[in-house]
Amino acid sequence: MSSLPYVSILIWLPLIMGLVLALAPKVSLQIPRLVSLIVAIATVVISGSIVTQFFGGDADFKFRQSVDWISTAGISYSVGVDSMAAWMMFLTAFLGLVAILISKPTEKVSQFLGLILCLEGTLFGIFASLDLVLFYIFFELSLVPVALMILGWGTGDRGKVAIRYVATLFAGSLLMLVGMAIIAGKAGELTHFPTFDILKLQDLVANQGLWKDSWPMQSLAFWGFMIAFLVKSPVVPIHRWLNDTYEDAPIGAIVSGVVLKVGTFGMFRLCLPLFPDACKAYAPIIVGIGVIGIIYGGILAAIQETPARVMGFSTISHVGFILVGLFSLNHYGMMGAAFQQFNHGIAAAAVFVLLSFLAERSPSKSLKDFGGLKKSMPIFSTLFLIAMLTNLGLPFTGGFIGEFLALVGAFYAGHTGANGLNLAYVYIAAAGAILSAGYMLYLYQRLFYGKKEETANFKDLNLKETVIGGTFAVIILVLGILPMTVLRSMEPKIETLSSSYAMPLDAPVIAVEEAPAP
Amino acid sequence: MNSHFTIPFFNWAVLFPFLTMAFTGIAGLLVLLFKPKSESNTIFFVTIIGIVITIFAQAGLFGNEYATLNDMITKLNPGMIGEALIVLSLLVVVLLSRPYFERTNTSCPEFYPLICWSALGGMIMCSTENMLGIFVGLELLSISLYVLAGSNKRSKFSQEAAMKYFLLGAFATGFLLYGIAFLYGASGTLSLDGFRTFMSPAHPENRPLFVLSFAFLMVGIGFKCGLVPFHQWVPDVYSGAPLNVVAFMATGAKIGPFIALYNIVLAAFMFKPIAFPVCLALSILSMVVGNIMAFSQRDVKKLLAYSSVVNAGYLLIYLAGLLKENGDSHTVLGYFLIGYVFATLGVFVILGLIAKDDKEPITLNSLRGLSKRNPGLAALLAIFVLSQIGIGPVAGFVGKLLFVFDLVRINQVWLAVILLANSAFAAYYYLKIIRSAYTNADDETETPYVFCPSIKTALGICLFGVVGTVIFYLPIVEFLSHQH
Repeated sequence: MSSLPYVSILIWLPLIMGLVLALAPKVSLQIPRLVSLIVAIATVVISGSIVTQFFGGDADFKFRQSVDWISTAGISYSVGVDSMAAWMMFLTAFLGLVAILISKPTEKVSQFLGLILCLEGTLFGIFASLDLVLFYIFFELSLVPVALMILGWGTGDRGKVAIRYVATLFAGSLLMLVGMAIIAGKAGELTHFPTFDILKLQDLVANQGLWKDSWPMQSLAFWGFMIAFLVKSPVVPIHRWLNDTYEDAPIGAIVSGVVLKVGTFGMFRLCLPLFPDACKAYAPIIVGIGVIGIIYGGILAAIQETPARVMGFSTISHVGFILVGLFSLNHYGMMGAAFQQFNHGIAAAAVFVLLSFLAERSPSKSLKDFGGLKKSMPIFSTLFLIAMLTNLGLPFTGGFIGEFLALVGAFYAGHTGANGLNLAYVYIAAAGAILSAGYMLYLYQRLFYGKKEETANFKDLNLKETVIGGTFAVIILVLGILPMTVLRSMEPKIETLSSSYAMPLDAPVIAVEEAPAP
Repeated sequence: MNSHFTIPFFNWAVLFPFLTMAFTGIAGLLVLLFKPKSESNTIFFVTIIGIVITIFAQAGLFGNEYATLNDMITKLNPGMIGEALIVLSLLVVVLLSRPYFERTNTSCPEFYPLICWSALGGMIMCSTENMLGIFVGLELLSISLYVLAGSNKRSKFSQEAAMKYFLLGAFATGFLLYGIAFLYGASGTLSLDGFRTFMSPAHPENRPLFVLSFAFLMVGIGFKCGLVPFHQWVPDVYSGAPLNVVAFMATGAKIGPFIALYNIVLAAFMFKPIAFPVCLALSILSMVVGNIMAFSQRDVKKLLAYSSVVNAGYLLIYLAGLLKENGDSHTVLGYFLIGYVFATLGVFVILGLIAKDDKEPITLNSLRGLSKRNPGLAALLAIFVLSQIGIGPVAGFVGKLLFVFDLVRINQVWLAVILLANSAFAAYYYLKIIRSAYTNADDETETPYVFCPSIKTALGICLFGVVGTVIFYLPIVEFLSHQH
């Protein structure tokens, strides 16, 4: 399987085909659809077969490929996949396929589908990059297709939203350049040749004391990366772009599902291994930010007037859980964060996909115009219920596993006082989990119960829509009942990450297999 | 009997690009002389041939460093890249000019020789460390541009731009000359080496002269680079002068002064306690004022004018960092210039296609509907603007990355942070250009764009400059450092 550069194909096939479609002259409506569908299916197949390579559990990077690029500055085109990246790429491919299936742009169809493929390609690039500069390039590049989609097909004040989206995220990520320059420069001091190669840098940090006696620099570089990822995640003070984008982007599903996960993925891939001391020192701050997000997002989600905005604030709340788990800096927390990162992609996308079905039946965005859908759309309401339950973290759905593990991790960290964490964080975070039940059920009530004349004759989902929604429901249940497929393949990777953050000695050691049995 | 003046050694191969450039202009004039009534076709092709010969002559020089004419001409590395960029940007400007003249119904055959000589001036500035050489180059560059700025004889804005540019430019030249005089008075040499060799601690009484000289030189060159507070002419001249002239003014004509600035600032290494804060203040002022002024511009030419001011600030803050410690300036400077020149030129080529006539300014609104009328053109515009912002595998990004990387390596992290903070701010108004291009127009009257081969070539060169130079980094660096 490793004879062909599969990862590069995965990155460049959708990017190039996307560009071709976006720039293609006007042809019939069917050809672009067919082409994009074929490409999307191809990416699902390739990324799926990459995932299967990790079922045995493997901490190493596979499918590596490295080509000299800007060699004088130590930059190379270097890609490769580990288990976490493999799952995220599979998620991207799956959601990309769904987005292509459900999107019904009224004009410029070819361009729209092309941009979805371009976005997919840049996301694959982010997940597969093993060079800091390459990562950064894809990280920035992924802003462009989303912004263009908002400009071309969004609703509301498109120009403002698109500019705010790019400008905020771009400004947030600029300091990452400084961080990159610092760590590459340090590597240059150590080995007389600067490098941006992530794996080499990891090795230098872990085994050769790259950060010896340079705490201020490490701290600065850490925040350079961290700010970029926190803005992308997003966290509370910088979350404004998110809701606008959710409301206006015609592809909320893929934005919420994968684009945001790039933030926490970046923390896993770059912050944890490259800045161990800074991660420990600032863990209380990051966990604190996460807890604030859980509570703030939970409360604001309850009082929103449009479903998209409810989901926006709910996302902030869920990202809070990922942060809490991640920066517990122990095995369980990281497992929970990694799992939740994947699972929330499915969960949020499921809701957005279902909402897009609803949007086809009614142009209204406001919750006031809905109600009583349970009667007119029984299949829809059942599928929505399942998607909603995983969002509120009910056992037997994927949402439970991730948030539970994250909280367990936080509890151990707080219990042992590791890295300055304490139990107060955990109590507040756990209380926040109840909020999600509140706003989700409230959303469900407003959509499906009561009586409304206007919604009485809405048609229920047709076959295609049912199949798509049903697929999501099945995945959600599988993730909840049989989470081990994902967990076990990710575990060795997480193990190597968390072992560098020594587990507190008095923490009870439970094998992960036993922990989340629902 | 010894002669006091020995005829210097001429290395004709080194001087060849200058000669071809000069003769291209002269050939253009001869064409005008013999075929005054002809359409500008002949002169256009003559110019193109001359430029292409110059490009090959210049390319043949890479991989070595030269000094000739008693060290009056010194071809060193950043300067040689600068020269190549000047000729390439000249080529693009000439290519975009003919269709532009045709569409706006202006005819200006003397444009071609003048712009060649202007480029020649820039090339001379790039390849000398002698202040007299810099002065001659600068005057050749400027005087041609004074005339060109007013080359649209029907537009009074063009006349006004020429007048403003000339008066202020002549004034700035005075400062430059004064600075040269001080340098000569203090060191007895016209070479910038004077700063280095004669600033010895043994002669403290010369110090004020050097400082004065440096200050005046910075005013003179700062004016040409468009550094704040010497930038007042930039927006007026940019918005008044014809678009094809501005395209050259913003790119090719900037490189010579940029390289001269680089040489002057680095020569001031000996008194960096004074030079460093001066450079820092000028650069921060340029970035901040340029950004603020660009923020609310609706006229795209003015927006690009302020963007050029900001870019001069980026360059100067890097040079200020170099004052503290030596960095790897050659590739860094090269990529910064490549990114700036080709991205800006690309935008101008597209503006030239959109411009209806030369009377109305091109506002952000006139870009509307571009994506619908021509998705490819809109995508190209987006790539050029994204390169200015620094998103994607583009020269603008690599230039910025190398700036930051080098500044951090020489322990000037805070300078890198200032630069990045400003470029974050700048992203906002660049994005407005893309937004306009991707917003639907109010009236859907479609005026088809005329894609003649010369425009296609020009866009191709710009696209290669912005994207190709990054993707093919290794072969290009190899070519530049390999001896031919």
